[in-house]
Amino acid sequence: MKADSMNNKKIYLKSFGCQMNAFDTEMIGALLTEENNNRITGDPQDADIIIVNTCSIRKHAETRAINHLHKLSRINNAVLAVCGCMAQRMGIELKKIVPGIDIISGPDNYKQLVSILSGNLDEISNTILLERKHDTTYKLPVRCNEEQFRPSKFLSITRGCENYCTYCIVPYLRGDLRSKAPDIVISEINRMHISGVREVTLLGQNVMAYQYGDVDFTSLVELILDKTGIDRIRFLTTHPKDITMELFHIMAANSRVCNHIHLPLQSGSNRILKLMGRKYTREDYISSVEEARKIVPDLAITTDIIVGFPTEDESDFEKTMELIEYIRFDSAFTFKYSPREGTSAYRMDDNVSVDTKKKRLERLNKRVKEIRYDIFSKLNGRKFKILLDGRTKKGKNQYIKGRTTHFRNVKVNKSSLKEGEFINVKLKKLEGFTFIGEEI
Amino acid sequence: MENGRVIRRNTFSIKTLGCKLNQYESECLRSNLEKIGFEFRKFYEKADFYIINTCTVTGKTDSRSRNAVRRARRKAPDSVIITTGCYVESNPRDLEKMDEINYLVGNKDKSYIPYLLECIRENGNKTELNIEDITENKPRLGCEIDLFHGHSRAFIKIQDGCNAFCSYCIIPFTRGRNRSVAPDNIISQIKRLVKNGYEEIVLTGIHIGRYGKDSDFSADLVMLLRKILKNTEGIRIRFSSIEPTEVTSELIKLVSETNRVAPHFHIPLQSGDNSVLKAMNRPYTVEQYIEKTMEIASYMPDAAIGTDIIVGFPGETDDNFKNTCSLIESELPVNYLHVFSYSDRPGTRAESLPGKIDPETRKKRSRELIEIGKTKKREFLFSQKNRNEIALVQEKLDADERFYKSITGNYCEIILPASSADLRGKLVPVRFSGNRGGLFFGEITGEPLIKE
Repeated sequence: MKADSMNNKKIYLKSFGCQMNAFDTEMIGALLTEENNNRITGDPQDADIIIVNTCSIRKHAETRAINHLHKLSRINNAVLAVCGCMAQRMGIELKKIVPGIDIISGPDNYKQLVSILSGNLDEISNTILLERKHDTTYKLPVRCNEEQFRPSKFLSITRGCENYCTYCIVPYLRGDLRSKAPDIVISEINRMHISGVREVTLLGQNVMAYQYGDVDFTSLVELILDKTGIDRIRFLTTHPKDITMELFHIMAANSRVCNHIHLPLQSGSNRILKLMGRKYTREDYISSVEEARKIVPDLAITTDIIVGFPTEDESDFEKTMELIEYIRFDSAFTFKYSPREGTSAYRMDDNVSVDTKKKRLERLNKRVKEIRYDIFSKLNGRKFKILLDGRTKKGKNQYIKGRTTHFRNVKVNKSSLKEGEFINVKLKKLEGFTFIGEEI
Repeated sequence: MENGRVIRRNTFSIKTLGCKLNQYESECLRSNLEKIGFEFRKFYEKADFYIINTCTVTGKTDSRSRNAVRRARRKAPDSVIITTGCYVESNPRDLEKMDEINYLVGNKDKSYIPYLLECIRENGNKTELNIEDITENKPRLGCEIDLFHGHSRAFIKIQDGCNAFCSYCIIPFTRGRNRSVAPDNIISQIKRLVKNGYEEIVLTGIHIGRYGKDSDFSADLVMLLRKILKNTEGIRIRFSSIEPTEVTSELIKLVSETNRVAPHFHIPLQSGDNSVLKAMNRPYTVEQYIEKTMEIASYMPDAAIGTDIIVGFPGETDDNFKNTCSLIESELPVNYLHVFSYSDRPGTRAESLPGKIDPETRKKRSRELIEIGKTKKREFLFSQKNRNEIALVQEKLDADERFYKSITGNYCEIILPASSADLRGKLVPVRFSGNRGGLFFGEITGEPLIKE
């Protein structure tokens, strides 16, 4: 059916950056397809509305989004909306770079964005939505898009961040911390569960900062365990300064809470951590990990590390290398420091040369990978339960893939299995960092 | 003192671990505390008093009990923490070592806790009180309840204590000998709850199959059930865990002939191997257990029959364990399992038995059996498709009130799409319709059984 200006709109969505963005993008899509017979399309050429959710975390993320926007702006007749952190940061400037943009919306304005896009498309021109809203009581519906069913879904439980790590632009773009009411979180999880979802990942810039009345994050997890039947619960991200052992006790006592934590280290040097405004020391980090592993012995820990922060010297970097040796991360997202205008680190001299940053990153990545391989290869022969969440193809072989409680990928060569099922597998061998498993 | 006024310490919270009996006793405490002006808080909220009603049935529940204490202390550093329940009886020394705890109160004095809180409230700060002074000078508080907070069905106590001394079990040491509640008191308690809208009552105790055997009122469980049915209308009764030797043919027949007693039998098997059963001091054989459950299934093919199993009992060999697994997997009409990993309980006979099983093996066996149990449960649920049952509507699942959780007579949890009226707490006729993503769904096929 062809779109008129009000109905039968086809929407193309593109999301850059973090899982929070992925969640927001899906939510915008769900809200727009709730009525008017609108639907999602995978082909931008075919779309009446194109929405690009952007990221500002690093320069590179913005460059990629802008290049993408240039391409999309050449598609005639479609309304081009840009949202997310880069939209908030650049505002009207963005239109000077990519003139074809019709709407610019910051992360606090999605309700308004949806209402405009639900209306008459012919009436849309040059709309800028950047107003900062600091209310704590926001509620946005989550509707599972049945055509794009996935057994594992994200759910954001907070918005914003108030940590102001010196290198990070996010608090300036996403605003103050706001926590979603526990009964809304529970209702949303139940609704996902009823529609077939088996695993939910609770999202926040720092989920440990969740606070709604007397309900803190650990209480929220307990409430979810009690009031929903969702099979698996994950969460992202946890700031090391706020981590409590309570959380690991809950993890140890409930197989539904996955044995994985993403705990961004950023640096192993106390001097750099202080400059980054991280509010913990390497010793704090080590003791949290040691204590947590006493409670959950097979805990998988992943992390983020920045190399080349201003003034980072060889001895600082060595401290990071030492620490990854000791902690043994399951995996690490590693980044070269990228100055972001408006942050307090931006005023510091970005004095580590590009070449040095590159060398450090290479050395770090190599070692992270070796450690990862070492951890993984020792798991061959072990048995795990996986949630099947997608299919892949390699040559003639059809695989269905899933993840263990530790967030490790396993694929199984058996086509009769369905996404959304839990199966027990024995790990047979490693292919890259994906296990080949056999159903038992 | 603040602005010349004494700040009254007036809020309390209760954390309950373990069995339904403990939950009932916590509800009694809450009811009596509210009667004398205390205000209830949820456990994650700040309160002046925290009562931790502990459980000691396994090592795991001990540790959960201790965690609850630490949690309360962190939440409210100035609060008064009172620990009671079976852990206080089994291992008071463990708990005495915890600085976080202000008072330890044994099971027999549990019902006096409201007086203790009252004394602390009246005398200002954490006066070091002696619980014995209170129990000697105060009358025992009534323990009837009007509500069961947070539940759509109410658990009530018909019996306490146990004389069985299964070799692994600490409960006879923590709860003393058999004591039954008089039938008239049970009926009066049920009537109070029914008056407040409860449509399902769960009869609980430690050893309810022995109901009445210790007392001078001549009654047993079957007589009690008959009396309850006669004195109430419409509501559903469910009874909790009952021993295999105490499921009489008379009881089976009674349940099969009425739709007012849930067709649900929770009968602890503990092991599917006769030599292990003997070492556990369980007074039946595997063959007798099979016969009993077959008898139930012959009268009621769709009855829920559940069981408890302990894995890793001292001396349990791989073959012993395999016997349990194959028994559950094949012939037995059991449709759900509660699996426990054996842990030494201080002072029990099993504690001094040789042949302790290492934790890894226990864990492995436990995992294996849990999987078998899940399969059994799923198969049972699938077998119910298109059947009609009566379900008790429980809480709503989402803010838009589109779906409710419910529990059928034969203990299946099914999701019901909501109608316009609020059906929470009502018994309704339902049909099992299908499943999606591990959940089972049903539809309401008629009017609620009990009209307003």
